[in-house]
Parts: sequence; C-alpha cells; structure tokens
Amino acid sequence: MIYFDNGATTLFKPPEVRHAVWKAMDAGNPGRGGHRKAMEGAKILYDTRQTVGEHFGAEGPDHVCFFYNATTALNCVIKTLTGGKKGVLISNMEHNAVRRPALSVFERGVPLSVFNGYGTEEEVCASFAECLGEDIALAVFLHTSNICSTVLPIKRLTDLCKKRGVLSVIDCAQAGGHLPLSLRETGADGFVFPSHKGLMGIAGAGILIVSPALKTALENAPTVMEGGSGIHSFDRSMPQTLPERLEWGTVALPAVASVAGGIKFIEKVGYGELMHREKILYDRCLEGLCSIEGIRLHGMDFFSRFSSLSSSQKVCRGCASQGSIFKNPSLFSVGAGDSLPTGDVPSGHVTKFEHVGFSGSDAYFKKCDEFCMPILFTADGVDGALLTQVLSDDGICLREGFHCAPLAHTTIGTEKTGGIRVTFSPFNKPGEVDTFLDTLKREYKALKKRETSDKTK
Amino acid sequence: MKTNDRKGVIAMPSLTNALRGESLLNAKGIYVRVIKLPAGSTKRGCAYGLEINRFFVESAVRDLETSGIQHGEILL
Repeated sequence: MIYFDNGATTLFKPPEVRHAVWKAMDAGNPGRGGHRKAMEGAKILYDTRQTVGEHFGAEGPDHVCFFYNATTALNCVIKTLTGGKKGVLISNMEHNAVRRPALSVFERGVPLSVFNGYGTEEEVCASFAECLGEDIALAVFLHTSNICSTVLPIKRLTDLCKKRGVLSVIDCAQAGGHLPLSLRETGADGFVFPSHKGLMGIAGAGILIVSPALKTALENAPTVMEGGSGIHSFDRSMPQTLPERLEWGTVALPAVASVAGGIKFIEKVGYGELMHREKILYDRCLEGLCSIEGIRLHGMDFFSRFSSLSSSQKVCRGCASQGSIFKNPSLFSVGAGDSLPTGDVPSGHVTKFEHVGFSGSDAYFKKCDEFCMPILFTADGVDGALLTQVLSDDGICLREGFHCAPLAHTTIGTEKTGGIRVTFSPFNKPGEVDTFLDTLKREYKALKKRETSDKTK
Repeated sequence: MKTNDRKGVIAMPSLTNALRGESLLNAKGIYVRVIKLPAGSTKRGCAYGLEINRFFVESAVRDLETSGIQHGEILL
C-alpha cells in the first residue's frame, strides 16, 4: 500500500509516538486527584507542554494549551477575541476550520475581511495591509495551504499586525513538523497545530501556542466553553490563567502525549533530513506529473520552484537514483522489507536548517522553497473521484474533492472540479512515487479510453 | 491544615503553575513536590500546592517570584 494522504493524517508513526501513547494510557487523569497515577498524568501533560513550547519558541509551558483538534483551538480563538466592533481578518485560501468560525461570528454582526493570499509576496502583503482596517482586532491565516503550494509571508504579515496592534494567529496545520517554526522568530501571537499530521502524533489533540500578548488577551476575555478544570471547583467561571482557562473537561492525554513523541523523533532526525526526504519525493512527483499528458497541476502560479523545475537544478534526481539518499534510513523503517538503502548523504544535498530565523522575507521564501507543500492535480476528461477509486483499488491512497477548503478552491479556480491531492511524509520512499506515477499513467489512459468509447457509443 | 511538622505548603493557582514551580525549585536544589491540598484549605475547592521543608519556604517564594511564577498563600 502506498499512502500519500499525509495532509489528512500521517499514517506511519515513529516508535517514540507509540511509546508516548502507551505510557499515557497507563496514567491517571491529570489534575483530577493527588494520587500517584493522577500525578503521573499531570507530569506527562506538563512535560508535553514543555517539549512543545521549547520546540516552537513559546515563552514557557503555560503558553501551550491543548484542545481536541486544531479546529476547536481556532474556533476558541476566533470566538473569544472577536465581538461587537472587534472584527477578524482571514485569507481567501483558508480551510473551513478558519472560514466557518469566521463566517459564524460575521453572521452575528462581527466585521469580517478577507485578504488575497494567492499572489506574489508583494500582492499578498498589499492586500493584507489594505484589509487590516481599524475594525480588525484579530488576523487568522494559514501558514501553508492544505490544497496547494501556497505559503504566506508570515513574518511580513505579522509585522503589519504588530504595527496596527492586531493579534495574529497562524493556522500551521500543514506546516507543523515539516519545517522549523518559532513563534518568537516569526513574530506571530499564536500557532495552531493538530496532533496527527506533520507532528506525527495520533488524532485527538489540537495545540494552541500563545505569545504573552495573546495569553493576556485570552485571560481577559470571556470564555466560549466551560467545564471541569480540576481546580477551584466552587468558582462559577473557568480559572483565570492559561492553559487551564481554555482546557474544559478531561484532556485527551494519549493524543497530547503523542505529540511529544513526534517532536522527540523530529528532533532526533533533524529538520534538515526530514525536509530533504520530502523534497526528493516532491520534486520527483512534480516532474512526473508534468510529463503525463492531460494532468493539470493547480495552485502553482506563484511558486518559484515550479517555474524553474524544468531546469532540473532543484530536482535531486542524481542522489535519488544512486540509492544513497538519506542519512538515517533505519529510523524510517516501517516494516520488514521496507527499509531504505543505506549510505551516507552525498555532500551538498542536505541543507542544515536547525532553527530558521525568519528575519527577512527573502530568507523566508528561500527556506520555503526547500519545504514541501501539497500538490493538487486534475486529470482532463476523467472524474477525480473515479480516478482515486481506481488508484485505491491498486493500493494507492490519495484524497480528492474539496478538502474542506471551498474558499481556497474558488480562489485557485478549481471550485467546480475539486482536485486530487498528494501529500508526503518522510516515511514515503522515492520508489513509491515512481509506482504511483506509473499506475496513474496507466489507469488514467484506461479511464480516458473508456470515457471516449462510452461517448462514441 | 494539618502538615508534617517540618513541612509547609505553598498554595499554587493552577496545576501547571505548581508543576512549573516544582521543576524550577528542584532544579535549584530545593526539593518540593506537588500535592493536592486538603478540602477546606481554600474556599474555592480543589487546589494544588508545593510541599516544602519549612526552612526553604522563604527562598522558594523568592525564586518563584523572580521567575514570574504566581503562587498563593503559604500554609505552614
């Protein structure tokens, strides 16, 4: 089976994740009692806050809040910090996790603005500045699109927010775990991640990391959900301080703990190698898709790597074909016979990323050029659902449709057809891309032939 | 509240703060542990605190305050 739907959830989990989940399943409910098992649970929760906070440049563990998924976290932020004349600004590339809560508050009279996130860096920044009116209190926008290769110039947009005194929260659902991100360095007020995508944890947790300014704002605004908090039971309202203020009811400890396991794995391997692995797959896939007649790529108009792809300078074909691609292949073994060929990384192929200081937009985009985003394609004359069903029967898992992002599909012009999305994990292998491309070519040709003969009948 | 003769408790406003305090003070060589406070020790219901040797309470409180970790009353 070949799994290229890692944008929905990563399928292969590192051993660190399994271990963390197992340990959490053996712990009690954090903050619900002082006995040994409850305190074990509390310690796991706290350690995860610390791991996540340090990894993403938060001020401290009390700046990390856990929800049930990224959508709950985004709903909480949008519904807590808007109201009356305090409006929200989003992009035209958002997932429904942002679009729907923004529309919900808009229908209650809250100002809503939508800036153009699909353009050159200058166009995006100009549109953002224009939409950042006095009635905007909060800007919520994606880091990376969940349908195509759009990455927003986060640093420049958060700088604009700071100048206007607007809080900025970034939906990092498709970016977390794929490239180094630091709240402090990007200047954002909040990052939101799900547990189960790039961070390689299991489904069931969403993470909100807050700056001191966002922490204060959330602590001083009315809550949108209430429930047990494990402390101050007689108080009518939720505790005043974060993270407890936003953590209603029992925390999904195994899912939360799995994130710490994922980060442990990511830090062990290093972003340099993770990104290198995905880039090889990405470039190979893009190039292959371009060579199939009738396959159309979408959402690539402003993506520099794509425009220069034909030169092959950025495609690591050389090292991929040598069989000595990655530094630590054994770390990515997912089963018998699945391990990658061993060997050292050829010099000059791995870029060290460690923690990226997003000091300037050029540097930022340069880094993003090494980072792999979703690929979206359609096949002329063949329905995407039919094609993915046939591919699924051949053992290839891809997601097609609208990916809960109708706004983004409308923006890039695929609102009628949707598209087929390819998203990788570092556990995928170049050979799988080749198999996928060969199968796609064969099945597409067969379906098209069938379609044509049906029409002639 | 009833405490061990040599032990005092620093009440903490949240479990996260209590664990932050525990981590900080243990790293500084002041041994503390997070405990659940007995019912009735606060009027607000369940709460957590740091159990500590009374001798170190003053320096622990100073360290907490220097690090910006909020604490509640001292229960000796």
